[in-house]
Amino acid sequence: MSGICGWVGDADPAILDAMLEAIDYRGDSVDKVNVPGAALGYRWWSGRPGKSPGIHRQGAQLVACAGTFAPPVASPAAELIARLQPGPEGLDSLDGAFAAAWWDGEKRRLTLIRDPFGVRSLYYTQQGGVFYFASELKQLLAVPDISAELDHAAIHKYLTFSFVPGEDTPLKGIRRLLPRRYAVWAAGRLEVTQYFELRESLDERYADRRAAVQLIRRRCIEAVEKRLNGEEKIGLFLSGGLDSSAVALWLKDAGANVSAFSLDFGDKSLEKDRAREVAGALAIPLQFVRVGGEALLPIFQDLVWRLDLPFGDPVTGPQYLLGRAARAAGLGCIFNGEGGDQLFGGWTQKPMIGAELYANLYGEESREELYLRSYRRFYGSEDELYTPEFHARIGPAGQRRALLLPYLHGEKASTFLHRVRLADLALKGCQNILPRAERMANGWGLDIRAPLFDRRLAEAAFALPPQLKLRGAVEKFVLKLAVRGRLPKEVVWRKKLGMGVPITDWTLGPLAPLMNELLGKASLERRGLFRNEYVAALLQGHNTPGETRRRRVGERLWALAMLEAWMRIFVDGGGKRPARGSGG
Amino acid sequence: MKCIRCGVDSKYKERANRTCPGCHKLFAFEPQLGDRLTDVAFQKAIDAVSAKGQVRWGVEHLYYEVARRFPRRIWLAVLPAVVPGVFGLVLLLGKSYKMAAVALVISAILGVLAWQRKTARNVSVPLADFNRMWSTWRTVHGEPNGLIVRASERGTPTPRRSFDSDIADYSFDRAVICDRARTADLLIANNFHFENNCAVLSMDGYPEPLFDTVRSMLKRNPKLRVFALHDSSARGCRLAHRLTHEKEWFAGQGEVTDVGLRPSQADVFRGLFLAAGPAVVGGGGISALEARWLSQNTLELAALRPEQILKRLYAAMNRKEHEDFDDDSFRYEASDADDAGDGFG
Repeated sequence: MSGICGWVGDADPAILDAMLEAIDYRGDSVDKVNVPGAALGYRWWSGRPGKSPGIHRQGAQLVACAGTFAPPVASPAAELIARLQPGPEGLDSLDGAFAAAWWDGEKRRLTLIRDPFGVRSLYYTQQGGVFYFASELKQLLAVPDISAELDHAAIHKYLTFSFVPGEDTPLKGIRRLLPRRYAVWAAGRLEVTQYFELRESLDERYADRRAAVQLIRRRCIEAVEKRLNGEEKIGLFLSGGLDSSAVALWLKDAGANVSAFSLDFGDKSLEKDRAREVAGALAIPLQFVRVGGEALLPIFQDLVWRLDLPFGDPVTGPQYLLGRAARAAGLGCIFNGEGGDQLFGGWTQKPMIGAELYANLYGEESREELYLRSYRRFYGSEDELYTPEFHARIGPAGQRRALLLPYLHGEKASTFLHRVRLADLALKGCQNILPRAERMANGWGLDIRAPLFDRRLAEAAFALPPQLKLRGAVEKFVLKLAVRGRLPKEVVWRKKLGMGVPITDWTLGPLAPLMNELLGKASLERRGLFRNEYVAALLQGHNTPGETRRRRVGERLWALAMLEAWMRIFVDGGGKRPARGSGG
Repeated sequence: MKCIRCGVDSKYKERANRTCPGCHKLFAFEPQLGDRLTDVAFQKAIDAVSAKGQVRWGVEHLYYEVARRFPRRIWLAVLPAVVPGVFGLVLLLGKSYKMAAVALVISAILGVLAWQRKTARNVSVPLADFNRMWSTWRTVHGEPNGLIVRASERGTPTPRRSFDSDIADYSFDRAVICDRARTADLLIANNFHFENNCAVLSMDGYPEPLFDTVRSMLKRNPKLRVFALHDSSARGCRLAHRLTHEKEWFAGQGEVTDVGLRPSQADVFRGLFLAAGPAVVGGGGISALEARWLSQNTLELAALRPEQILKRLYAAMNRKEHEDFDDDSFRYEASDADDAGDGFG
């Protein structure tokens, strides 16, 4: 719900205005500072608690900080400099959702910093001897000299993960500061340091189930409470699943005035009744937001533009509509239950266990390859999907596997479940789920709060034996025990049948004209990345022969359509806001 | 005859020593020398079982695919019926009614015999003939892509992965138990276990290195959903019954759903049956009616194309889970996880 930008070097001051203008939906107030050799800009919504009321000025020190700390402080920017000036130890307990820039005019040094789980983003690039940084990609593209050139290696990764992981962005020369890191730019060099590392540290005290449940319950309650910034009214995205229901419970326990919003997919809704049940049990007003393919058609371009990066999961469409509804209800912040799967082991981890056991029966397949396959987009289908020209430009083999090695092997964990949890948290959680949720909420002026992505809670979760997370086949066991008796039994113990976005019905139904325009033969030939035969089969609703699930057709079409639309806006269109009302 | 390597179409006299005049490489088969299929036809059979290289398959699937495509030379059977038929018509025109009637009856009998041969129940290609063709094909064209070969059977077996200590502590939501190891091979090699989050085992102990580990993991889930996948054979049709009642399997645990082939589904696969073994007695999961069929026939699951097996299995499992969605069996209880309670409930 705010954003920053700036540079080190000499650039036209008008550029700062352009960079701030590019994110006009992130606030009604602007502050900017130009000093010799540097500039900082900050946009925010005035009157919202827990936000920095402008750029913090302290002698030659300037700090622009977007976002909030947890627990909240009056000015995160002032707090940050107080913590950082003595040294990086000041970051030891820092938590929240923030991205900040600190210009030290005495030492001629810029420090960029991102929150521990990557709710807020920061990008940087160098152009004409100037080091630029910004909260969003579109702000950097507002700099006249920066051109948008596609990075084919990053697109290759997107097609595996459905998001671009790591420090790369889909644009050449533009890099991203990863979560839980700070970067210092001085004397023309950038040095990146990780200030918080999550790793397994099993504590035998929590082999005792009672102690483990008490710990997790306590940490969850603290995580929720320290994200309440004193707003009169807050919102909650309530899916009816365990995680968001647990957050609803703890928000009510904390005395928050909470209103819930839930998705309604009509007869395709799987958890609608559960959401109603939870809201009823906790006496929370609940609004259902009807989502069908028709509703996504008019908003598709705007959705892609607000996402800023290509995110290929179809959940972003419903998230956009939820955000719009919450904004229309006059809310300024929204909680969600994201993070429960990554911390406590949701149903998505189970296939990895089977894959690990059955590996190598018919030839060698590494753990990394199996994990890449678990994203279920185009890994393994590159030969069928990619044109030879694209194939030739994706760079050397092993780039995707290299992203996983630190988590799936090595010293960060000794148990299989925790290895996969760490990989999920670092990639899916911090580089996909959180940033895309932030974009969708901020697109509507909402501050996103994801209490389960909490530093102390995460550390506690990795101190527990993994068998308390996946107990036999019961996922998130410790979290279930933590809310047992406080939430309806159906919500706590019901098995998951999978997320219900009926994307194949949508892409082959109401969204078909859009899909055909974005992914038709003419469009594919113009872009030159994909083979028409492969995409045409998907457009006709044909799964690949070995694929049993119909929903993969829609998921793959959506991921490809999102990418093409993103390229049109950000590569062809320079990141400018598309004309309103244009679907495709 | 067309060469599958270079596409050159050649006449028999142009093919010296079974060699293509275009690329000078060998043909596997030469119909002029008595082979019943061409290289193109055999390649088409491979394309069909592998869904053009996108599904992994076993040699047993290829056997049935070849059998589907094998020319039955119906004209050879029909010819004896045509001759007396024509003769009978001539006699009829010559008003020799008695002789004509005899000739036409003979023709009709031979015609019925020919029709029966066309619609024979059993697979028409002797396994030994297929094995000869398969061996020739591999010698000439090499091993086709997608053929399932166990790593342990290759010259340089892939070393087994050493597992992290916790992995056997977990369980699965569902399991597919097959009556034969080759069916388990098909599912695992095509990542069915991964895509559908299920364990796959065979009754006869495959995959051997994991069998005990996986079976003990399955015991950890009292709400386990078990799916029995099998041939339409006496052994196969008893599978679900055995899984439900045998203690070392799932007696008293979870629910077993039969998703295998049964005699009532066999008719559409007529022509791909195998001769049965000893007479089958009903009971133990087999009805008297089924026992009669099973005493005469066997239908292997491999008679279905791999793609169809995977899709039918997925559909059957999915249907069952959606049917049970509002059921108590679709809900865990704390006790399902060996919960002694933490005093908060």
